[in-house]
Formats: sequence, C-alpha cells, structure tokens
Amino acid sequence: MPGGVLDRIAFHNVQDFSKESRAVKILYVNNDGGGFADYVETAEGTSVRAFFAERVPHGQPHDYLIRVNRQPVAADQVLHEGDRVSFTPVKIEGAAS
Amino acid sequence: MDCLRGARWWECFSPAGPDLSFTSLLEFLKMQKYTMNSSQQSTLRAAGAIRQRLAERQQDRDCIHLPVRPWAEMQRLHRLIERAQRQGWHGAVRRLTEAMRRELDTCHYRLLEVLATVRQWVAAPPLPTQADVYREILALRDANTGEICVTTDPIVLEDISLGRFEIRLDWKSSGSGSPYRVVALNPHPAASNSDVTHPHVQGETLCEGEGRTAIRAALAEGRLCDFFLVVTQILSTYARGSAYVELDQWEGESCYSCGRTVCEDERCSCARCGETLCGECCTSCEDCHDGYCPGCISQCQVCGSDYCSSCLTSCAACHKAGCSNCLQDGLCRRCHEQQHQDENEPCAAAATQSHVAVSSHRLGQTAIPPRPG
Repeated sequence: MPGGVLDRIAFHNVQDFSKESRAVKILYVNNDGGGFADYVETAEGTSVRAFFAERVPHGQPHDYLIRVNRQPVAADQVLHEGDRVSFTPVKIEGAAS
Repeated sequence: MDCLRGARWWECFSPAGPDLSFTSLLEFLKMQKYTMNSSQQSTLRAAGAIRQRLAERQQDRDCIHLPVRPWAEMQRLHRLIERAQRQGWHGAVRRLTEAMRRELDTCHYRLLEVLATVRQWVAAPPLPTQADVYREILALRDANTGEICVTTDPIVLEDISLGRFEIRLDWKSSGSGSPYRVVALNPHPAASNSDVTHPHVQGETLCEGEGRTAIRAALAEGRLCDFFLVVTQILSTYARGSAYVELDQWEGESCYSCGRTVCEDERCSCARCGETLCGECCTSCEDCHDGYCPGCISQCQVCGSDYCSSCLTSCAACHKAGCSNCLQDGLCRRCHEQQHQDENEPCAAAATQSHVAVSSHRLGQTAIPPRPG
C-alpha cells in the first residue's frame, strides 16, 4: 500500500501519544480534615472548576475557599505548571476542650 | 535570571512570582542595585528565621538504630552451628539454633522499628524555601518581628456581634504546642464568663476542633496563609453543643421569677423544679437549706418561716403544716396543749359521776347528770 494512509495513521497515533503525555504538576493543598499538601498531576488546560470536581467529587465549590497561588481566582481559570491550589472548607467547627 | 529580565523587582517576591532560590533573587537585586526598605528587610529576616526554625524541627527527628549487635551475634552463632554440625554435636546444634532464633527475632523487631522511622522521613513534607516563606508573609500583608498578626473581619454568629479578632502567631514558638493566640479587639464576652470572647475561644486560646489537623500540618509545612485561613474559618463557624458558652446563653440566663439576666456567679436553681433563679428570688429552706423558687417554697403555718414541703409535716389534730420546731409528738403547740387539757378533764368528770345513785333492786331509770363541757 502506498505510504499515504499508513503514514497518516502513524502520524495520528504519534500526535495522540504526545497529547496524552502533557500533564502539569501542581501543589495541591487540602485543608479539609487531613490538611495534606502534595504534588499532583492534572491534564494540561484543566480549569480550577474541573480540578475541584476531580479532587472533591462530593463537595460543592461554594462550601470551600478556593485559592490559586494564595489568591482567589475565577472558576474557569486554567491551571499551569507549578501552581499552588488550596481548598479550605468555609465551615470548620471548633470545640470546647 | 532570564525570566526576571524586565520584571519589576518586587514581582520577584510576589505570591505568584517565580520559584527561584532566594540567593538568586538577592543576587538579582544586588545587580540591579535595588534597595529594600526597613519593613521589607524585617520581613526578609523573619522569613529566614522561620525557615531556620522549620529546618531545626525536621532535624529533631528520631534517630535509627540498626541491629548491629544482634546481627554480629547471629553471624557468630552461625559459625558455631556449622562447626557443631561438622563435629556431629547434635545437642549443641539444637541449643545454638534456638539462640540464633532469638537473635533473629530481635533483629526482625529492630528492623521493623527502623523501617517505620525511615518511612516517616520519606513522608515528611518538603521544607519550604526562604522565598516561599517570604511570599507567605507578603500574602498576609503584615509582619512584625517575633509575631505575625492577622486581623479578621467582624465576626457575627447568630446575630451576636463578637467583633474583630487578631490572630497572633509567634513564629519563634512554632514548634511548641500552641504558638498562636486569638485576641478579641472589641471584646463582647459571654455574660457568664468574661474569659470567653468567642464560643470556641477561652483565655485567648482557640479550641481547634475539626481544624486541628489542618492547622498542625500548615504550621509544620510553613504554609502560613493556610494556617491563618483555617483559624479564620473556625472563628467564623459556630458549632452548637461544642462551645465554652452556647450563643443562646451568651447574654446570660434569665431568672425564672423576676426575668433579670443572671451571671454565673449569682445563678442558682430551684431544688424542686430546676428553674434558674437569681440570688434575690431564691429562698432557702430553714431546715435542709436547699434553694427554692417562690412557687416551690412553703411556710410553716405555725411560725411562718420558709420551709420546703419535704421538711413540713401536718399536725395530726388540726392538719396545719408545721416545721420540726413547731410540732411535738405530731401535734402543733396549740393542739398539744388542748390534748393536755383533755387528758386532765376526764378525771374531774369521773369524780362527779361517783355520787350518782344506781338502781340496785329493781329495773328503773335514774337521772343522768349533764356531761361537762
């Protein structure tokens, strides 16, 4: 077979492979309960809203203070490599020791 | 340095600035001949000292002790076992094998301890750079030598205004138990306890509740912004049932009798119905000394003193309620005297009756003298 179709298929596969490998590493801080901070990977182009849905699937954004690099941001802001994202619950109950 | 080319120097330290080493940033500033004002220098010094403190905390971690001695002993026993086997000393082989098993158990136990410690080291949070800490402080917009302070917005919980609070973090003590205080700037404390300025704050100490783990993690990792954010959210949240003083009692309890607000020192409760009373409306029983509300206290119907119903008994004759002082042998004084009179009068009546004629021979009637009284 002439190389045309095969070349196109191979080229398409190479493109898919390079797209899948593009992920961004961000520092994720969850101040809900455990309060851990860790580096995680997410797909390039992920918005803050999507990242929240990915990490807190059963939570509602309005129940959290969402900060990127210590600043409040819009929900559709895209995350970049090295960003620092934190989720802090709005309601954290104290006690009486 | 290329990424800083053209940037204004303060952008290097902005919270979203490039994550370069602090030394590189200082070199850049020196090259550009920029100078920092005293506040910025103070913040830089604070950032350096905080990072140093965090580094010291990481160094103060458990040492590991490899089982060197038990392992050496195992090697010796192994050589002895091989020699005993060659010589055919079966009894010795058994004893040496048992000894080797004990050393092996010791090695195993010690290695498990080492493994647990090393796992903790691996899982330990990364130490923040000095630039990270500087950015944390910048984001807080305030830094004092020794203490970092953040002031909250006015806190209002269930329509009760508690005023602003200042969260003061003593970063020099960040490794110790509770290195921060919560100070009420416009105190509106609970009526029953002036030390309680917030339902979850007593004596400038916040009871962290659900936020405890997040606070500890944020302080350990030098995430100052997260620390202040979590504390602020705790102050903005009311956990009913877990407060030093509940908000529905914040302005004090009302006296059941007169309605006046009563502070804790003055407060008492009725021993019968349990209602809250002020000192003036609470009456003590003269006998048992328990306190009662006006509805539950009674009076002795003989002397008029205050007694509870349990300390009053009824006179057996006139059924008046009397205290133990006013009743004698179950009778009030008046009935007791009356009884005494009754006991004396039948003797006189008997003496009168001895002179009345009695018909002895024939049935007839004789006049019955009238009864006395």
